Amino acid sequence: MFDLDELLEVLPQKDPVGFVKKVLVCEEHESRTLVRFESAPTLSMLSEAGAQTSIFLRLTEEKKAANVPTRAMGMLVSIKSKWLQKSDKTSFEVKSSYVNNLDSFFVVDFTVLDGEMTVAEGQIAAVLEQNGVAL
Amino acid sequence: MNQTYLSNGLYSVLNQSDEVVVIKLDNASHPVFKAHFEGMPLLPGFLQIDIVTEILGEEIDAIASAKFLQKVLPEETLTYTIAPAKSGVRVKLTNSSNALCGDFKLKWH
Repeated sequence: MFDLDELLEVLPQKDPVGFVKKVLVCEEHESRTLVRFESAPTLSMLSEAGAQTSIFLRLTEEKKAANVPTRAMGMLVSIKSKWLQKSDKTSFEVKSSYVNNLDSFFVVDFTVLDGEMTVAEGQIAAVLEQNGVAL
Repeated sequence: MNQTYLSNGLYSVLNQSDEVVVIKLDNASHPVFKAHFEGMPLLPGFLQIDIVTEILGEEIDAIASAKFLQKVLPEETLTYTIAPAKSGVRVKLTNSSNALCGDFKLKWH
């Protein structure tokens, strides 16, 4: 069982680029976070928040079994995303779940929520690296 | 051009037209590079997109695709080449060695 508050320490992106302020759910195939920005975010920033939320998918028993180091960093390879409802708010909940998980390469869906309303959604692909080398 | 709390001081524009934008990135002491990542400063992918939209005064409705092909380091001189594409624009980002760093298909107003 993970301590959700301690999990934030493994987020490699720090302020002001670290958008995740709280980890709400860290489960095998789904993570949820609370993200916050200093001003209304762009779609690119929300996509980055989706990528940062996906980091908490990596800390799973499945990844440990594959010997993927928990300190490995996911380097963003691609983004695809769209606004569904533009928002001037600065705090959102972000959900992510695996589309494909090939140990060192993964594709993740993400959804950005303002309460019950989905404001943006998309998909990111990332490759895991450690010390600048792909795993 | 309205710089955000993240892009403030992050780059300077060397040349700008509707088709080509050339910028020079700040050094590794900028807060963005210190935060992304500690000991390994890289320009975040999302800012590679936001910088060009910010300079051109555009707002993105959708990122049809964005590919990040090469790491972008502090103090690099970068060139954005912008071309009309099906229902939006295609933006290619190259560094001073002419290596393709990013390839973005964006929908903006």
